[in-house]
Amino acid sequence: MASKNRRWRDRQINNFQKFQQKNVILEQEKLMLDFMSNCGVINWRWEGDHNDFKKICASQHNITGQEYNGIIIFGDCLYGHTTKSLIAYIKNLIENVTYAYVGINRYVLDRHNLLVTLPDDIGDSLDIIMALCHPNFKRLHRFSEIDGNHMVASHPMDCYGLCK
Amino acid sequence: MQIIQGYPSAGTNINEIFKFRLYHLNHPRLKQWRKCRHHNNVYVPDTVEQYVLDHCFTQLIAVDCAGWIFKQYRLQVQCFESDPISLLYHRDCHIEPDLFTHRPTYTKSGIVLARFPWFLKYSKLEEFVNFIELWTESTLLLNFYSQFVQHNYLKYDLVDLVRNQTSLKIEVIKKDFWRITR
Repeated sequence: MASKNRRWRDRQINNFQKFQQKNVILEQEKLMLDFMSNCGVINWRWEGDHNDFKKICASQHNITGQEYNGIIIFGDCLYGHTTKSLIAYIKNLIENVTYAYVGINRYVLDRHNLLVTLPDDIGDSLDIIMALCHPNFKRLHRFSEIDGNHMVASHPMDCYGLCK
Repeated sequence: MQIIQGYPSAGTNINEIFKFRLYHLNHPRLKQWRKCRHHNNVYVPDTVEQYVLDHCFTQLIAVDCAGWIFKQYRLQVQCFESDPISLLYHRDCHIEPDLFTHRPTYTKSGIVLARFPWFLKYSKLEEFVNFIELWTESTLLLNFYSQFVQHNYLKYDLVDLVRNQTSLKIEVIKKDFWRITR
């Protein structure tokens, strides 16, 4: 499912580009670019999907991963985790950085295996999970339904920003 | 830089070939079925199709799931689809734009099969319950991604939440394939 999403992201966007302008991005990708801009001029490490959006991002920010102080995490690498393994994975990645962006699809976690009781709402549950990764994680937007069926790569992510 | 929120907001600038690709996303077994017909190979039913065949349903109402596939097994099928592209495959399809909330009055009675109801994706729990109430006259066979119905799947099983909201009888044949009866 994950690699299919990655491929579909570019195919969908390219389809629009035939008719409209270049550098077309999805709404949640704009959210990420805005967050990066607000962090000032720093170097970023890219742990997101390797698609056309990465190229657009690279044209605006330094994402070479050299001497980085910020990290971008979304896409394939977050698929299929349990709540426990997700926290361990993100904690490890953000250990030595000041800034982080995490975009996670709330529907792709495998199961809950932490000794923490989750609230009834899945959005609130994700807030708790991200707070366990680092208490400074702030939600950048809430889930909203966006043409969920057709925009395959545009699953309405829950996006979080970290500024330590 | 242009920002896209979804296909509806992007307008109608989607070409026919891409529409066709999207249609097949909603009908994941259809390409396989078509290839078999072209190459004269045997189409192997998936577990849902096999369940229908094993339980000898002779009359089906198929909701948005390329129900005409069952005609090759001599089942009587009334097909409903929301996308007019379906007519390229089966001219007798009824095109209904909103099968999620509207059951046409001319629907025959019988077993209803929702084999891949894409419109359930991201539906709210109460909307989902309304859908199964609407389409369960005697029996509804529902194959869907239960995780994508909005609920906290990390904490609850969807079937438990649904059972609290309806008197329908739900038999979970496997996680994402339910048999619902009155």
